[in-house]
Amino acid sequence: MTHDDLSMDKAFCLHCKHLSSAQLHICPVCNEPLRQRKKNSISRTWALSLAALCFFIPANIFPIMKTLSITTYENNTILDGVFYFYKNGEFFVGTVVFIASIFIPAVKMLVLFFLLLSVKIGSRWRREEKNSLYKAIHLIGRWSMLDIFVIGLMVSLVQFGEIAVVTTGYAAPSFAAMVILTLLATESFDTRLLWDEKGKK
Amino acid sequence: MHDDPSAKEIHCPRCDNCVRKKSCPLAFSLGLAIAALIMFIPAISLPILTFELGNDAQQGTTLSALYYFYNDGYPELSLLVFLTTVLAPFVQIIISLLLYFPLNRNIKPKQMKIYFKILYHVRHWVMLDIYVIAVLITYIKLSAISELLYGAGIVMFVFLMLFSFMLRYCFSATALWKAYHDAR
Ligand SMILES: [Zn+2]
Repeated sequence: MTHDDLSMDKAFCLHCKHLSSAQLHICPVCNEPLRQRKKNSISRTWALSLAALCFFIPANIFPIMKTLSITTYENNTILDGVFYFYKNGEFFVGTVVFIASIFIPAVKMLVLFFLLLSVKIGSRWRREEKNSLYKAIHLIGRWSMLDIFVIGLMVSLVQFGEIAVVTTGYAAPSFAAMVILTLLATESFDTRLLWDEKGKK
Repeated sequence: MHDDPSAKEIHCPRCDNCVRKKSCPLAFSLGLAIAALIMFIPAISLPILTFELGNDAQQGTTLSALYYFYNDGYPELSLLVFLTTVLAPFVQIIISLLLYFPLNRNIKPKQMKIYFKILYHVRHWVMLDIYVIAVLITYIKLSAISELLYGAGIVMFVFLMLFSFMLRYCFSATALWKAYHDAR
């Protein structure tokens, strides 16, 4: 026997957090459209996370930052940047950059695919833990933007004509697109689907 | 709906998500919005870091980062940084002022529905905390090469980040709508 919003014919407004009758189409408190689940949650999440996966590969294999000085010309990928910190003994910073730029986006996409598949097969296995996984990627996901800000700061600080110049590499837009797409994908997934009985609306 | 929403927090027994959030007093949120507004202009326009190489020095502000991204041929990155560090925090502050100022005086804001919708969505795009950590990482990265100086901008930015973060933490949909329906 379930006592959830679907079986009680209730709809919870995600905007103003008010519980109303599902017969209403507009929330009586904040006038937003009222739905029992997020609109097209599954297909939107699939589309956005697959698109993010497409950008993940170019973002990691192409250079994200170029350094030009009298003696050297360097093309750096994200991993080069991480190794640079390790070589210079900055283990903490190297790890922060690795986690924010490579680990978090990869884990986010894996978790989203895992959740989508469990909703698809209607699995009841460890739903609380799956919900916690979602909460975790929702909380840390924003931190992938870190590298974009670091590049912006580097580019604006290292501008010394022929002596040393840092410019943006062409992987940067792919990286930014991947981060934004994973953010939107996470936002479109509805965790309540994990508890819904398969076949019900 | 008729009990006091600020009295207690309610969590979903199934997924433990917060269903009803405790709110700070409206006057406190209003104070935060005013403080954040005062910090805003100096934070984005004062130099954050100054990098010295030989006899030359380069000052970096948030606005100059936007300029160089644009000049490098990446207007989309410029737009993204603008959105997350300038526009979203600014909109968050202004809309908070427009909502909390009348509600605090028990007056219904005229465009409550639109203001609430903007504030609800803009919260996710404020990334000042990440930006501050990025400044720290850039500092460590460049200080290995040459002299680096902190600018006044970063101090303002840390305050702006704290006020904006608290504003987000204090945001409670239930309390805002309760105040709206209770107001004249
Ligand atoms: Zn509502």
